[in-house]
Amino acid sequence: MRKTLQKELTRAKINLSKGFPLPVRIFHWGFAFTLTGIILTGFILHKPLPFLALTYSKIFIYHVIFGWLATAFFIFRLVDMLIRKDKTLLPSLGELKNLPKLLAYYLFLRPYKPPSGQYNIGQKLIFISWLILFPFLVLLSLGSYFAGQHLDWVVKFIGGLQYLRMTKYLGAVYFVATILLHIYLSLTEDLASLQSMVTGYEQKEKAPKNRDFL
Amino acid sequence: MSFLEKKTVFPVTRIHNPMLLEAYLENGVIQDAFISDTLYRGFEQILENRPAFDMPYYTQRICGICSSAHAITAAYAVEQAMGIQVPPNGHLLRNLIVGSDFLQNHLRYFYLLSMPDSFRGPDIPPFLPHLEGDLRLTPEEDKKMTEHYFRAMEVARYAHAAFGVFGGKAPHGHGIIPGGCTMDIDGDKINRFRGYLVTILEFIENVMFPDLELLIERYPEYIHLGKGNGNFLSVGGFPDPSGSTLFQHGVVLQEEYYPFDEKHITEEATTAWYKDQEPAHPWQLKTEPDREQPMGYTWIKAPRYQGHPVEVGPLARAVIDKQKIIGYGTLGRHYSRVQEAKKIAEACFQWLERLVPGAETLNTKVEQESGIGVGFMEAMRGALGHWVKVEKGRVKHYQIITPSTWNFSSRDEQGGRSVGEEAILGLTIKCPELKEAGRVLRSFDPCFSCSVHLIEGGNLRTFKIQV
Amino acid sequence: MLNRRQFLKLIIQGAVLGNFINLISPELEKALAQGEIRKLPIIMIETGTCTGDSISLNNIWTPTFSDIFNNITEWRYDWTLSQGQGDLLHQVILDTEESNTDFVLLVQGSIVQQDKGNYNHVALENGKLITGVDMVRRLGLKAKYVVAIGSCATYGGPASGYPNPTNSTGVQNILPERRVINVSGCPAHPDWIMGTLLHLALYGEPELEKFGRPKMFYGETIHNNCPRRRYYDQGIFATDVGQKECLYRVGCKGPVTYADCPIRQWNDRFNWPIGCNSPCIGCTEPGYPDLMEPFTNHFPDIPFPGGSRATTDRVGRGILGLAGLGIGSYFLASLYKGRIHRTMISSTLKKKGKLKIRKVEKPRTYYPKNNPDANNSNN
Repeated sequence: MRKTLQKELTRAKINLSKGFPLPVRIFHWGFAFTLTGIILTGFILHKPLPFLALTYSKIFIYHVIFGWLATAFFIFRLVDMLIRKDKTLLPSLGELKNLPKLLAYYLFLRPYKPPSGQYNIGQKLIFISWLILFPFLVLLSLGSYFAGQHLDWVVKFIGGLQYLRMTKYLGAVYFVATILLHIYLSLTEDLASLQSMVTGYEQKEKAPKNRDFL
Repeated sequence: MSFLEKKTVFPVTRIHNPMLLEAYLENGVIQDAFISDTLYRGFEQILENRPAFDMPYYTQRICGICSSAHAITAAYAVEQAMGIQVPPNGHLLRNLIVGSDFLQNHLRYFYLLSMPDSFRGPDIPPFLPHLEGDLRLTPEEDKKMTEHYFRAMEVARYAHAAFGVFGGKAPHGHGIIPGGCTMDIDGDKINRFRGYLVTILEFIENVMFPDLELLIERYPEYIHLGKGNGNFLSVGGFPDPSGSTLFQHGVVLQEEYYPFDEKHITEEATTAWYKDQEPAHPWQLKTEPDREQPMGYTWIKAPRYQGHPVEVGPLARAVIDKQKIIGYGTLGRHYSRVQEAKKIAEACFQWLERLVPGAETLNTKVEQESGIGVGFMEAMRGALGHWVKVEKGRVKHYQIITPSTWNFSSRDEQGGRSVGEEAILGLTIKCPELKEAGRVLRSFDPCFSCSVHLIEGGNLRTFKIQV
Repeated sequence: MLNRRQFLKLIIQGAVLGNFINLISPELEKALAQGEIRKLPIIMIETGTCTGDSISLNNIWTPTFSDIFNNITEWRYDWTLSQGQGDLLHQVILDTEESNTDFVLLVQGSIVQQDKGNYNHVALENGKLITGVDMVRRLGLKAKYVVAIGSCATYGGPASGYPNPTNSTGVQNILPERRVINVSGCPAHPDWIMGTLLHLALYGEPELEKFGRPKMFYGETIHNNCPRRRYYDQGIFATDVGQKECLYRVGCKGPVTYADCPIRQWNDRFNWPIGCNSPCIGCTEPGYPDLMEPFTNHFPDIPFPGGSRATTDRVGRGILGLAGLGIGSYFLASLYKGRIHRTMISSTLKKKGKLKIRKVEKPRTYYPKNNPDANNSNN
């Protein structure tokens, strides 16, 4: 955080607590940007828009560049997870029992969410699905990128290029659907973590003793 | 009840795909015969729920030698169902594609499929083992015929190359789709097509005609041997943009001419391996294989016109168009076929001249997404019909009646034989492997891969024959 | 005699110039004269086929058939070419089996497995009909090479289209214990068939790619060699079949199809499907035709139980639509119930431990237990 801002904040006696660490923030925004790039260029490559006379060879190059960058961010986060022994993303068995309660909350059958740590079980499941799906899609993409030279077993495993591109398309659709959900919930359910995803700190006021909100 | 000798010939070669002939002989004379197809692929079941626009491409895969005929018939059916208007040049181009396929088929049929019955080839496979007996050509003529055999193979390639000019590739071309032909017209393509056509026409006039005459001279009794039952059917073919057709449609039942009406066609499956089916119009038909069918002996259903088995093919077309006919037997069919090849080559020249370079050939504007359509076209070996019901651009019902289904149908409820089974009755057999019967059967130019729905049981039938 | 590398070079050169056999013929004749190679005995079994591959093979431009029969192969058994019929012809198979010669088994057509293969019979032996699947297995285990030609024989092809009423499959699936050389295509290009046979005669098995097809013919995708590639690269697309531009938007399967059609072309090397302004339908790929249909859409239909189908695009749009609908309705419901207001405010409040909250009658207001301000009489 900028030092001047820090000074201003201390002068105003605003208490800050630590939020997301720097590697997570770098990963989050880098990955968000490159993934958006991949998905947008991917959809253009999938179904060219007639009114956008885009140079296809360039779109393809951007698609590949975004792909490599996103993979780099992903690996960066993976290494970071291993170094910091970060287990915040891994769901535990106990939490899984909270899943029905969480679903009940989203269906308005319960007034409040079951208690959770930094991420609730729904978030964890979505993040884990991304964690598994993304490397798989990268592998498929590399298979088609090097088709005929390397990684032929990937194409054979998936059953041909047609299956490969269908899988990638459906994977992209899944990403878009879950990302939309992610954006909506982060904007409405937890503003503090949005603050912290940008700044690294979150400012939370003490709930008034007599009038406690959840 | 007299003693009948049963002879089974399988495979009867040089037809497209397997034919099993089961003949019952008495003193070397065929008294009864069953012809069955031993393959079932179930195309009509596969076609359901597929996009209607894909039908010309998919139905071509039914048959390798008459691919374009299936394509154009499917295109007609889908066009009728979805209300698509074909521009005049589209019609001409499609006629040219199918016409060149006709030439290819007639050339290949005459030399590759039927001719080896009459001459002795060189001593190399596939002419070995020779099918001995009743070879009446002299050694010099045999040699000449071998030359013509290989030359015909080369010339038939030109016919398919001509197909490829407007059809993309052959067989299973890409040119014919509902709405016309995808290829555009320019002088280069016309020139190329013309070049191939000249070579083919020259071959037909200078080689094929003399060879046919030689056959007629040496095998005169075959002009009348192997007659059908006197019923002929043609559904008309090669529509001109002006409205006329090259082949007329019509029906001949025992020398009586009638106009052709689609309503009179019924199909049944009494003695074929399907769930028992009353005679019904193709709209009501279903294709449900059932190998437990007690009476079954083949995979071919039994189409009938007003209850009669009819003959289709070049001879039927010649009868209905009132062309010159030398006989209704084996060589009579050959004669009509060779004459027809010339007629089509000449018609191709005319269509070619009328093409307008740069003009519109394709119009895929769809008027309705659902509907029903019937496509009829004379294929190389006779009447071909496709019945299609389209709902929201997808096929809901598809029935096909192919020429070989007409000619080699299973027996109907009354036990009526198909034309093919009828034709070899009373034939005196002297050669091994029922060569004479094979010769007669081949004159129909059977194509059993076309008889889309066909099977044979694990063991041969053993039902008794009353004489 | 040529070595393999030179041979492969000639194949590529031949594809471009269209005179492969002219290039190879002198070498071939030399080798024949020196007795280095024997003529290749060939037995062709036709199972569930349309005989399109026979017809396609007849369309071969070079070499001519008199050359093939006289110098390259011994075309022993073929339903469309053999002169003999019935038992006479079947004897050829028995003789070949008995004499233990190295022969090549060509299989054309899908292997019909329904009802133990009884939907397709290919031979009659001692009064018993032999099914196609039995015959191919029997000969396939004895043959030196097994070559499957056409889409049906290689991967099932059109006969195995959904719902696959005859339970058809490719040759490799019924001969898992040995390698099958796949020459796919619907139909296979005559050069692909003859080139493979010639390679077998001269050098043995060609190098195969991932789906068992010879690399010399199926090494690159159609898209990579397409003459209309520059339209694609510049983003100029045909909007309907029958136009001169890149056909990607109307369902061209070139990007997923391995074949050398663009440089080899068909028949007299004048035209090919994309040259005919119609999309490639991917006929050399496993999964054809179900994976390639609709032919005018580059993603296939997905069959649902009950026989109905939907395009992949529609499925994708459906998933996105459902997600959007879910989020939207949740948003509206949250607005109505006041959940948004509550969560947005409470998310910036520190929570300590687990709080017990109970709902009071006044809507959209929540108080913790033991709250003195509560106007509730229940505690």
